[in-house]
Amino acid sequence: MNYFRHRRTRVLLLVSIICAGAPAVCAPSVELSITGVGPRQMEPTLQQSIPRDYVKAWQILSTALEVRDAKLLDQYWVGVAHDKFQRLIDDESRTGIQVHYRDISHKLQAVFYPSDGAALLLYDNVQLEMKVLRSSRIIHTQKTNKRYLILMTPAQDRWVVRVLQEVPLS
Amino acid sequence: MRQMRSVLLACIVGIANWSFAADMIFPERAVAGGKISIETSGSGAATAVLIAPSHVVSKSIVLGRTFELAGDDLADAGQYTLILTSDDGEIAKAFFVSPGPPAHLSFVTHPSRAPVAQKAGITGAAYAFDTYDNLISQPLLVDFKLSGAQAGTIERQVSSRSGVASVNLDSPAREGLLRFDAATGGVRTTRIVRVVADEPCTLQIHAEPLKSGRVRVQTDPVKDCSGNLVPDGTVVTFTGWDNQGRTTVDVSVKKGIAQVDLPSTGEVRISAASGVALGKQIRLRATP
Repeated sequence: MNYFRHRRTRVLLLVSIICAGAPAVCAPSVELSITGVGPRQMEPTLQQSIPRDYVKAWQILSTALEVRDAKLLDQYWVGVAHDKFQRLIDDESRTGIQVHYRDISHKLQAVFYPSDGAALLLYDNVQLEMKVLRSSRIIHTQKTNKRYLILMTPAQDRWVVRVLQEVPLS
Repeated sequence: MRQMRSVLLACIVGIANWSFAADMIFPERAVAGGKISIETSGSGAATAVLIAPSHVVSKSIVLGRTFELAGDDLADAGQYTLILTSDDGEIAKAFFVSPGPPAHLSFVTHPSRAPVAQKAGITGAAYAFDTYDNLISQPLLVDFKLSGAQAGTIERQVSSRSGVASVNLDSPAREGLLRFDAATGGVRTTRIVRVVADEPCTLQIHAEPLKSGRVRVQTDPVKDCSGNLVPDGTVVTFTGWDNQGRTTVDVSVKKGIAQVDLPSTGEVRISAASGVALGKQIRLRATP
């Protein structure tokens, strides 16, 4: 059992090293569907910026959890989502338990874009790899599919995540 | 030989798993803020690590006994992973926590100042959250009410979809303050929308010569197509032609009326415009 665990640790470590050296190799795939979104039509520029900013937000989250720095969240996370992940980072420091997420793929489906263009509601079917570490030792790894309901709002030069709510897989 | 080795390895792994006899039983679903009891089997000390969507809990437990997760432990809606670790190994199981009942509404209305008599001119979007700031994605019936002293009351009931209930309502023909309410599950949020007069509909002007070689031009009360006086600050452009050429002056409406004194000599033609409204041109002779 220990043999397998150590081997798994070595493989994950290797993947982490490769991803740190060449992020493009490990960049998650992302698709955005705008079928059925309304009442406002999504502008072509928005169709480009949403996947870009959303993936960036995940990247920031992943890094913030890894280095336990809640300040990093300020770049792409606001409101409820920011507060919740700040708590997760605080908990990590308090308990010595670390949770690492690596997002493998995102399938985004925009569902609500109000006429004033002040928010965007979308679903994400995401494939994730979760690692749980205690005192830097991996105690659990899991590849999982999750579905999130996301509320993004515009900031000065980007769209930021205001709500990231996990919902049951449909 | 190879087959035998595989069988042997499978047996070793099976025995290793069996030797860690700890297990846990808990409800597959829970509600955010509720507490749940978890029955464990096995014996000895262990650590329970709860990985919530956005928090982590670690507890020392004794296998074979029941332990509880309190309301705050289950604050986030989403999937939880509970990991039991002891000297013998690790066991992990998942369960799902749903949002609780609505505790507050995030109600976004647009615009804050709406022109009168606009089809679907006022929009509202309500997002319902539970006590722990979980967005409630299950459908909820949301009651919207738009009311004002002169505007009467418009009510709509909308079922939320994907966490949001939205409504488009016509703005009334009379200007004034409106109260815009959204309510669900005993929670109510109110926004105030000011309905303002629209653009001028028509312009009527009249003029009189002054002794100083100028002409005083004044509008009649400037109103929108619903009969409301346009707001102060609405710009009216006066243009006058005389022997000297053309003079153009922009004037703000004050208390419904715009007025200006134009320098004029001889025969004068004067017109006025504001938005899409044009005043009928008038002619007069200025006093020398």
